[in-house]
Amino acid sequence: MRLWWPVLLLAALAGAIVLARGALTRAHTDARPRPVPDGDLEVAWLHIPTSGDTWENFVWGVKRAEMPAPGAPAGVSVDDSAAFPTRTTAVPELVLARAGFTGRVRVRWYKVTDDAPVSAWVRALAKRDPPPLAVIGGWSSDRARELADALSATDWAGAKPTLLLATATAETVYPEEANYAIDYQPPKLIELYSPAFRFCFTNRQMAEAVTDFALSDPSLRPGPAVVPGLRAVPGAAGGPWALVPWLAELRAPPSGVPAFPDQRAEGPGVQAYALAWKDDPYSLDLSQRFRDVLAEQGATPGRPRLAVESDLIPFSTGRFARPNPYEAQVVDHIVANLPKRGERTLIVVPTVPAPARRVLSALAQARGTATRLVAVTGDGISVNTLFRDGEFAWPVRALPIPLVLFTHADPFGWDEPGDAVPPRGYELTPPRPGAVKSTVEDVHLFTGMGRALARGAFPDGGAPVTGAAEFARNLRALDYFEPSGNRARGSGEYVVVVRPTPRAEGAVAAADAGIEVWTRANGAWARRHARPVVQTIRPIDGRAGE
Amino acid sequence: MSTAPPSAEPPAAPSVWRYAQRVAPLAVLWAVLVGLLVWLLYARATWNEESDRADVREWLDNARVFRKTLSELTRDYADLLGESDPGIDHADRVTSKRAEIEEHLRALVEPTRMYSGQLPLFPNVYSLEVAVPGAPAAVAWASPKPRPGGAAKAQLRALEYAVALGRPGAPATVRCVYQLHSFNRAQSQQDEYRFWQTIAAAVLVPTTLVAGLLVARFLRRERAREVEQLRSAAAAEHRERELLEAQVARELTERSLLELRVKQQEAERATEELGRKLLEQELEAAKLENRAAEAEREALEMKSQLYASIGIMAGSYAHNIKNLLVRPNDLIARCMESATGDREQQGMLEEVRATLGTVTERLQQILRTVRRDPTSAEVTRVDACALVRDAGRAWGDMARDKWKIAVSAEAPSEPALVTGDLSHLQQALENLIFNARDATFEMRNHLRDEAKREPDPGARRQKLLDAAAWKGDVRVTARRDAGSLVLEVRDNGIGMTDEVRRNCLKTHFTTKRDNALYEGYSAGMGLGLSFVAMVLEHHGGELEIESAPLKGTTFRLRFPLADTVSPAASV
Repeated sequence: MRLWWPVLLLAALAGAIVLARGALTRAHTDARPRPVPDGDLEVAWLHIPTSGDTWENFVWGVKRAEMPAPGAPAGVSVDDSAAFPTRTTAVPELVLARAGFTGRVRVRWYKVTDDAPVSAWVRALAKRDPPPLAVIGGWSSDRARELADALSATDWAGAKPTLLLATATAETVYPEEANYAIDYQPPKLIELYSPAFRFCFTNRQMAEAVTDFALSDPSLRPGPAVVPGLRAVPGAAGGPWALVPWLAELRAPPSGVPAFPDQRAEGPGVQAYALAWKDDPYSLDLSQRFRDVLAEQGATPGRPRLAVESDLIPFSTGRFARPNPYEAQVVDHIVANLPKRGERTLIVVPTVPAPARRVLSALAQARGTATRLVAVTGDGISVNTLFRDGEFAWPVRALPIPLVLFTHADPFGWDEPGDAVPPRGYELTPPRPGAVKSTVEDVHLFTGMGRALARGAFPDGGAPVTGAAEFARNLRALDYFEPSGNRARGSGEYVVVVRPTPRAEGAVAAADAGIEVWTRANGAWARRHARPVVQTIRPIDGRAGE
Repeated sequence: MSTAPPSAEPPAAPSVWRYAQRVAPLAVLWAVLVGLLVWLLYARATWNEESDRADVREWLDNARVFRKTLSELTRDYADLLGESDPGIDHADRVTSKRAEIEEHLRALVEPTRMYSGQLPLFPNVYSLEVAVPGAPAAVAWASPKPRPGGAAKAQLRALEYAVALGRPGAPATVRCVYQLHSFNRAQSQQDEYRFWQTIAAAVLVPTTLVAGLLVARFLRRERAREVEQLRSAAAAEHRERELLEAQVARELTERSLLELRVKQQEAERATEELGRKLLEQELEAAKLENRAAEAEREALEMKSQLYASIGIMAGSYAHNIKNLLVRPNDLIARCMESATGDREQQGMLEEVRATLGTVTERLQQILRTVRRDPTSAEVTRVDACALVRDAGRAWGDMARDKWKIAVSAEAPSEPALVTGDLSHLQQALENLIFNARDATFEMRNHLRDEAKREPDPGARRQKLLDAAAWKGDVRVTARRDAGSLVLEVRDNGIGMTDEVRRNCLKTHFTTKRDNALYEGYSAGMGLGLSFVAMVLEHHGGELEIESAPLKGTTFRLRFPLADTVSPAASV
């Protein structure tokens, strides 16, 4: 009985210690990287917890890196058994291996939360031995800058990990507080941290491709519209709407030759608009790249000359369809300055779907804007937004303005007969005609990333890498990248165009729009895919799609 | 090695304070556990409400209308308000940021308003406010829908939490007023759970208290019982230990005994070895004795032969002397006849003749003695009665005067003739008388020794007197018995054992050899009775011996009478 009090005190003390430790651990150890087994390497995949779709696409794409392909590393195997744990707080893991090599590369998704931001993860990874081989992040340009800054500000015990940018496309990144200063020279994103490699194309490359496509397409190029009455014919007759672009192309002159005399070629040029959302470095940078490219290509003979007006919008936040106050202000300004009837111009909307939807829907409410405006953008608006989720995310009846956007891979590149056999469960089966399904540009992008990871970690004819420096050297040797670390030009740019079906009085169009996928082939744009977009289901159809 | 049994000190009765002090930790622990249980039950009971609040908080915290969350926008706004070098466009930037937050709030609640009928778990949000220190007013969004009034106000819930701004000073505050309007099945389950948990708590808490008291009481009794059991066990153990110790001691003793037995066996083996050696020695001694006996027998034979030679020589000498005395005797007779009457001379001649007669008689005796070889007998008719009477006369006086015993002879007056050698018969009878004399000597000596061994002086003295008064008695009788003459020599001497009686007739068997009692007597040769036996054999007689130790001995010789014996059968 004499031991009761000491035992009680010890128990209370132990409980207090446990509680205190629990509180401290909870406060400071939210970013806790997992240990790396001996002989293995780790690639940290940093993303927010709600990016499950991106992780799924990543796993899908890397798993398909097992498939043989020209230039692809052979003998790659990917273990996805721990990629989708049942607990959301667990760390998903994807394991790459290659035949003939010891050790494995473990790609782990460390979830970036409010309690464990990117900087906390980077610090925690630097403390762990060994540090990661690479960090995959920068899913947007602003987050890419944050990640690059965190990596640069951290003292690494050994070789610094390689920064692998997945979809951050900005050439330069503007700090939000001074992003519109005239004399400000923003730093290049790829140079914020070294070594860094970008698997996506840059804003400049996207702007070049989209601008080139838009200016070369007779039905999209600024200036006088191409036989505008022809577009109403299929709609009025209910006939094959696909004849429209064909007829338009028939009517269009060869590339580089103006179809009609550009009455403003010698003047100040067609008034175009380049919007930019100031809270989005991507938007600012892409807007600037479009302005630059439009100016450059406007100076090219046979291309329309545009007078681009830059319109800044303070922030991107807003509701689903209604523009925020500053967007509404810009919309009012553009509506007030639309081209005259029979002409069209470009409006650059370098943003994500919601701001673009708000602005374009507001513009569409003005009479005649559908035929006088062509919206161009980069990869901010995904093809899924238009194709898979279009019925609510991009209702073309409410957004009748043609839209040209960019993708880093073929969005409709589903498996076709004769292709290599994909891993079981990772097939990319195409949807039946008229049906919708997730597009696959991200999967293809991540397949390329997986193959690059495999070749960087398990180089052909060599031993597995032992550190980040060797890994970066192997990546730099790939022709996938430019010397700067950016992705090489001409390695798979795709342009997607959405052509809403014009509505004419007395005519019923079966398809709400057409969506086309174009890419460069032999110096010219070639259409790879064309699919109708059917968002309006009528009882008489009896079926969805066609 | 023995240990004292455990002391059975009665436990001191604890005071109230000591009892409380001992019970207090348990009570505190119980109170903590009950508190923890209540807290857990309460938390479980309000789990849905907490979960709803957490969901709303999560929604407000992590929803990104564009890239930033409400907390990040709030921090940006606070940073903007707190800029030290605002610049000329500061007011526009503040306005823009405020508008951005307002738009964020509107965007947040838009789905809840748009899909309230489709998603029943979406809350009805009535207001959202972000209060940032330094701002002229809170950034707020208020629902155009009027708040519930009356009793419906109870359904409104307010969530308010702080947003850390990352700098000193007060934090920003986010406040959300909402209403969960849907039918939540979990709520009814929770209500039911709360009801039953209240009942359970009302039952369990006092029950655990009572149970604790019962357990304490039980433990106390158990402890007392265990103490008693321990004491009993200790006592039993003590006893067992003692038994074990005794057993150990016994085993040690047995071990010692075994060791002793081993030693004893070793000693016995040594003894046996020694005995064997002794037997060997005894065997050797027996051999030596045999050889000595053989040597003695040979010596005796040599002695006997020597005696025989001496007898022969003495007989020869005595015969020669006797022959030589014939002339002197004749001369003396002539002298005496021719003597003149000189009395003195006559007397002197008479004395010489008597002396010569004595010498002659003695020589005659010597001759008779040396001629007693049983194998060389001179057979005559001998009157056994006269023989007995002569022996009585011859040895009676000597026995009385010298041997201190009584020797009497009794025989019928009429003669009883037997055929035989007179000297042999005389010698045989004398041998029997001498043996009887020796037996009385031994008897007297025995009585003396017995008297001396008497521990009581009085009795010893009496026994000595009796021994002194005891007198040897040898009786020689002759009588007729049918056609036989029975010659009996009876004494009251020491008697004979059966073994002596069986061997007494053997040549050289004697019990008198090396006996000091017969020092000075011609005894101990072992020839007397063997001579008697030989005489009987040569005379056709029979011998009967009756004897027992301390009972005397009777030798009964039976000879055939001469008048009944045919001459041819006589020797």
